[in-house]
Amino acid sequence: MIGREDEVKQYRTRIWIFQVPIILGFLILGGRLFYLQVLRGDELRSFSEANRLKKEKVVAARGRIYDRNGKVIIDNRAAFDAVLVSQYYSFEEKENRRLASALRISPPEFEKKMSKINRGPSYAPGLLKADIGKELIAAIETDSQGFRGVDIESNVQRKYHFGEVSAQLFGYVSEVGKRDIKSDSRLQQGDYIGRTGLERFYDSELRGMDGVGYVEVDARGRRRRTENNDKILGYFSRTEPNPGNSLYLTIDIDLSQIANQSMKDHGFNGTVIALDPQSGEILTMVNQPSYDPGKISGREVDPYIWSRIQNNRDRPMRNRAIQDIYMPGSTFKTIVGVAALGEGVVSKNKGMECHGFIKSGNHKLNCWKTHGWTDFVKAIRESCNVYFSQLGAELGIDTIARYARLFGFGSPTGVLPSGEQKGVIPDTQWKQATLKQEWMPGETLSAAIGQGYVTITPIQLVNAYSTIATEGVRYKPFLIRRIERPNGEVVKEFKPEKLSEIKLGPEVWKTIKEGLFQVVNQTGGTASVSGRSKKTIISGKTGTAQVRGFSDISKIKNCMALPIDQRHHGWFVGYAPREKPEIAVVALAEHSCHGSSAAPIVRDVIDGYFDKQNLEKGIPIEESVKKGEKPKKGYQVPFQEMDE
Amino acid sequence: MLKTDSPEVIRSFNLGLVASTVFIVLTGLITLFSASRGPGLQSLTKLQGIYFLAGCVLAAAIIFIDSDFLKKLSYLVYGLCLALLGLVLAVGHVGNGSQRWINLGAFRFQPSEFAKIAIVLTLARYFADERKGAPYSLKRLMVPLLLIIPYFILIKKQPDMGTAGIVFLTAASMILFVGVEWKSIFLVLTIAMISIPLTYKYVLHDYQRNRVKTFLNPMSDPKATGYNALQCRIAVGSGKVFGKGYLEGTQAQLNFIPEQHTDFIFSVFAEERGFLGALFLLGLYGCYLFFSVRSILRARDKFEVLVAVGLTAVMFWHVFINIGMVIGVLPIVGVTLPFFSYGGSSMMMFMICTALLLNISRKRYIF
Repeated sequence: MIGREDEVKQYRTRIWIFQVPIILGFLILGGRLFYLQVLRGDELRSFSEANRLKKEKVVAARGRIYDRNGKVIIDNRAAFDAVLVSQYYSFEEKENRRLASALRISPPEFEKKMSKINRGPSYAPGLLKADIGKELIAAIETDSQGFRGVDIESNVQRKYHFGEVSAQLFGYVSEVGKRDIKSDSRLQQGDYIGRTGLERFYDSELRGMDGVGYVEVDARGRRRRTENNDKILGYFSRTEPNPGNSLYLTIDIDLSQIANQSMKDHGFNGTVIALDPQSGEILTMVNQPSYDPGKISGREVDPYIWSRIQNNRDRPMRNRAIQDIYMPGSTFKTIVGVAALGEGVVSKNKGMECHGFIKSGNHKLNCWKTHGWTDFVKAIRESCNVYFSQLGAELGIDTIARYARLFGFGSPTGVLPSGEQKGVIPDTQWKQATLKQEWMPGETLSAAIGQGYVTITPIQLVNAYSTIATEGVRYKPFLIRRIERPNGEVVKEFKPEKLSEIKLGPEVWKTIKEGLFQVVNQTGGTASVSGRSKKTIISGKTGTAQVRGFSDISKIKNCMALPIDQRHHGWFVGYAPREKPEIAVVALAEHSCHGSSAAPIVRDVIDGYFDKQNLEKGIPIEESVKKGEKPKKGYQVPFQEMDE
Repeated sequence: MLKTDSPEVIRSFNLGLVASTVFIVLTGLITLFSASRGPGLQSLTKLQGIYFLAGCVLAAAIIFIDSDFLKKLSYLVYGLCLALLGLVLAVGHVGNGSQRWINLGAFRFQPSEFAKIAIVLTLARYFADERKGAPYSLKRLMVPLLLIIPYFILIKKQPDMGTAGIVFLTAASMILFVGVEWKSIFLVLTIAMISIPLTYKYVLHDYQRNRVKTFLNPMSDPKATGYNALQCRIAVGSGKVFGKGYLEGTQAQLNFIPEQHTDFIFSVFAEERGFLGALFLLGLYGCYLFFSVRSILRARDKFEVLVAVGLTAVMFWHVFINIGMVIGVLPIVGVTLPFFSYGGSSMMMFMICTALLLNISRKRYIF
């Protein structure tokens, strides 16, 4: 050990010498710092005050959304925000009042904004009021005394040209929050992303790539102005932003407006879907109640508007067309009818006597009226419960379920990537698996008329009737025809996709279609007054979906006497024209009690569709309703249409 | 043999080194908070604090390792680190245009930081075992050179010029410390004079050449390469004597300064705290080095002396090169400011460094 001490001793001098370069190095650093910070301090401080080049995001325009005819549904607009750089603001009471009144901000709100701005750094612009109009801009910019520290910033906002029409389908955008940035590293503060609907599902297509530019600014981060007070877009070495791709939809926005207006005129909540049965292209998908996405897509959202949308018990943001399940009611009889004809359980002329009820064990099911002698077509036309329950009992639940699945019930249609419900098509296996119970024969009676466990989505229903319209060919419903780059280059194109073909004899389809035709066009049909059009021949079926529990719907004698939220939903689903149908439409009128309440909405949409076609061909539109006369709210149903 | 409660232990414990480390780390965390207010960076201060605490745990363990054991271990460390450097090039994570990190799931690990310590230990052992002693001729330096070259090449390949430079300078400092023949020094200097222009032309990458160019004339291209150098100098200078105040540095807060939470963090500090603040920080690093030199004086054998010399050199070169590049004394190379720049590997490396110096000062043999 002691020997090692000698080893160390030889270095003593060296260790002292070793410190010389270290001290020298520190002297160099200190001297240079003295030179920069003390000798050149004033000069460099003025450089930093007037610093010119700042790295800035160049916002890429979000892609547009067009309808099938090239009409712009959603695009972008310039918006102007009033901002405040607090270090230049006086905070005097008098100035506060002057500024608040110039911007038309209420004193308590002004106070809230000021305290928020004060929490941020004093050189950074804080938001006073977003999206101010020309008037307010003028008020700020031309004020004789001027407002020190107040600046107008420009940015890009989404513009929803058709407001509430199909808002649930198109969706809305909003500024990203901390959580969004955490989950997606490409996002930056100030970016906007789609929150619902197409804006959300196709966000990565619609959102472009922001560019980067070195922009000429002063040390407050504000763009430089010239003497005329104009802003210079003085970009140095700028990488151009890549605007987002555009979506071209299958939607006809004019028809959607008609559908939306018709729902509002009739005063019902619910949904309307129209599609082209020959391709699966969705022409319209609207919901009521609705909301204006433009009101909640901005930089500043009015908390009152937001809470009114969020807290509305009628859920205006819900896309009922795909997100909600309902009982199909009598619209399901058609499916059971196809099954019965297909399996040979019944033929066109086979009839039976309707005594007004049917029994199975101790299960009794009432018909909504005593139909007397009823053949197949009459059973559809007048929606006889007894007839179809009897057919259902003969088919058995498993056969009914098999046919229902052939029409697409029980699984999502895949129209949007997620959020779609699939409903329930019950059979013996399903009940065993979910409820651990045997299937009771009496339950088949309810299922055959679309009650009990059967649930569906509106999109499934309209697609099933499209399949009847095409005599068995089922297409996948779709919304987007193509996605295009801003330069017109097609990124992706969507073609009609045939999902399946139900192969049954022509006689089967003919009989079914005859029944659907008579529903609307023959006296006694459940929609023969409410659904009939002067412009084309509509075929279809009414239905009533009960809301309350699983109790027997036919026991409720007077639906209109129930509280509104317990009344039945009304369905109408149909297509037109009779030969080679071009359009299939479903309408759901919530709590309307009768299927025939929904029929006029479907008629309005189909009329609108043919009016538009005629207009294109040069044929003038016939007014079906007298000018200035709006249909009465809560449509009064003629007695013969009192379908359950 | 040693009573733990003896006042000798406490006196021999290099408290000055611990104190200056803690002060630098605290100043660093406060500055990092100001430098990381940009989007997506806010959590960095907390993370850096966690790295420091983890470093403390590691350091506490290292302080009590026997230095003879460390000496035995040093060649193994050398081999391990060499393997890791090779691995980085093979499967490493690429970031900012270079391949420096190994992904370990939750965090990334940068072996080149630890290469500095490995080279110090290795050279210390080599020279400690070398019986014939100084002064060394070029021929007798062949083995240490062969030990350094693979490290240098592998790190330069990433490419990480800054770290490669630190490795080279640290090794050179140690070799000069043990003693080299004057004849050989002159020879090397002559060769260097001739080869520098050639290196500039054929060895350096384009971006490195640009850095040298803009170092010599920062106004030549203010918006591209020279932009960083210029903005840093403006930031430091505009702090003047008293600084702009905490969180009020416009150059930093308006993002004029690139990489402000890592390599350029000194400019954030100097802008906010001014000349007085900068002197204070230089003083803190000066204290650290002063106490670091004290630990050399307390070393009990040649190996320990050389380890302490090497680690002191690592520390000094980091401070000198980092601050030097920020204030325009040196061209811009990626070298971190010890305990200040954000980064787990860097923090760990300097904590190990400090722990080894404390280990050496702990010893009783004072000459």
